[in-house]
Amino acid sequence: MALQAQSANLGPSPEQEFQKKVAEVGRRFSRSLPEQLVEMGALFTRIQEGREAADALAGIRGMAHKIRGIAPTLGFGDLGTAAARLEDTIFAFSTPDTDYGDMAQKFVRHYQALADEMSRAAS
Amino acid sequence: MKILAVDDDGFILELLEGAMEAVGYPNIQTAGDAEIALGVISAATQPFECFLLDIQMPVIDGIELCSRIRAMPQYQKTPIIMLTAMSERGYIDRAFAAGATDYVTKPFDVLELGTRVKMAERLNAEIRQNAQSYRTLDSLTEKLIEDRRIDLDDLVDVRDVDGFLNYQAFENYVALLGRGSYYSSSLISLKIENIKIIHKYCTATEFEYAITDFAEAISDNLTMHSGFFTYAGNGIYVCVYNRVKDAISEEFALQVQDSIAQMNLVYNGGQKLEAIVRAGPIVNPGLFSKPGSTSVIEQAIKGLENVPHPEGATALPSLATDFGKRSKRWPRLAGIKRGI
Repeated sequence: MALQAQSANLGPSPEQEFQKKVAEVGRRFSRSLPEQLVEMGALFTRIQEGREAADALAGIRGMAHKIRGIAPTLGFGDLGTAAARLEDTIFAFSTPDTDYGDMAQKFVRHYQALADEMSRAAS
Repeated sequence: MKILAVDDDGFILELLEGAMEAVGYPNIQTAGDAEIALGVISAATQPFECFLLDIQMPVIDGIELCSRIRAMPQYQKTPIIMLTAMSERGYIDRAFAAGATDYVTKPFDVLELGTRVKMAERLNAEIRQNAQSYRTLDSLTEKLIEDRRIDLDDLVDVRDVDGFLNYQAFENYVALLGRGSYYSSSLISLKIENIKIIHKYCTATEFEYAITDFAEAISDNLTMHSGFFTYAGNGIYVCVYNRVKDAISEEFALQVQDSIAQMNLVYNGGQKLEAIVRAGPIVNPGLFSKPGSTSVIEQAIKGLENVPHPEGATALPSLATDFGKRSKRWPRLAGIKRGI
């Protein structure tokens, strides 16, 4: 009984507080994904239509980069992996000797995979 | 410890705050971009003791921010830990070249981040202790400055030399290569063979300048190899470079020795200061250890033991009786009060 009382007085440990915080941030992150998906879709359309495509590509890369950085910490491992693949693919566009035809196919594939993961994580 | 975290992702900042509180560092401020961060830094009444900087941010990225922080006199040695989702070697190299102390890849593990910040705190404690020593020194006479002692195995601090990292940052860099391009890197140690003689006949300040001059000579010969190096004490420097991009010449030690000779260094009293440089065997990390290990640094240093000593390593300066007076070389001495 005494131990229970003592433990009740101590409250949650810093680690428990942090895990609560991670869960709370994770919920908000998940709720933000549909909006991000719409934004990313608009950028993708710009690339397809050739309207300021380089900026649009950089925008998608930036979004993928952010998702890559935070998703796994929040428990969305697959989403992080998909974002990493897309970011690395876009990064490879800037390297010499790139086969652009092959890269474009890869880009579309990894873009779609990330969009799918975002939809899944948002639901 | 007062920490400033800078990231353009609000979720990351929230997590960093929570993570730092969880590992016992609740005194953390955050900024959403580099410009805000610079404003927070300049408005701070108490200086920050550690920075956590995201690399990829719009307008001013974390590497540029790191350089700007390092340019502020009060933050020349403050630990700066870079955070990024990219583990590509180019980013790591640029971050360390800009003055980063450590590097953590996202998604970060809270325990690992906590360990890194604890290391930063230890570094801070040393900085405070040294700062106290320097304040004391400032108020003393030249004699006391000259009486300051540097042991042969001390990790002498070298500043403003391209590619030079302090020993802790160098260890971090090599450890971090384990997650990236570990197997394409090589290490090589250089030893100033007659360091005992140089140490014996230099004052503490002059010894520091000699170590810095030798570092400059290494830097001049290493920059073409896009590498970093450190001073490990006892006249030993350890270099790491990308062997895929560049190869170190078998003549590397001689090239460094020639560069030192061209500096025309002199002891107090004008006697020529000669350095005899010996290189250890090239260590390829993949052959000796797992990625992430810093044992390759010890391996590189230990390798020196198996290399024959060059001639002249124990030769005394030609006019040893006249040591202890002002040097003509080492122009940095001009900034130090020496008149009695």
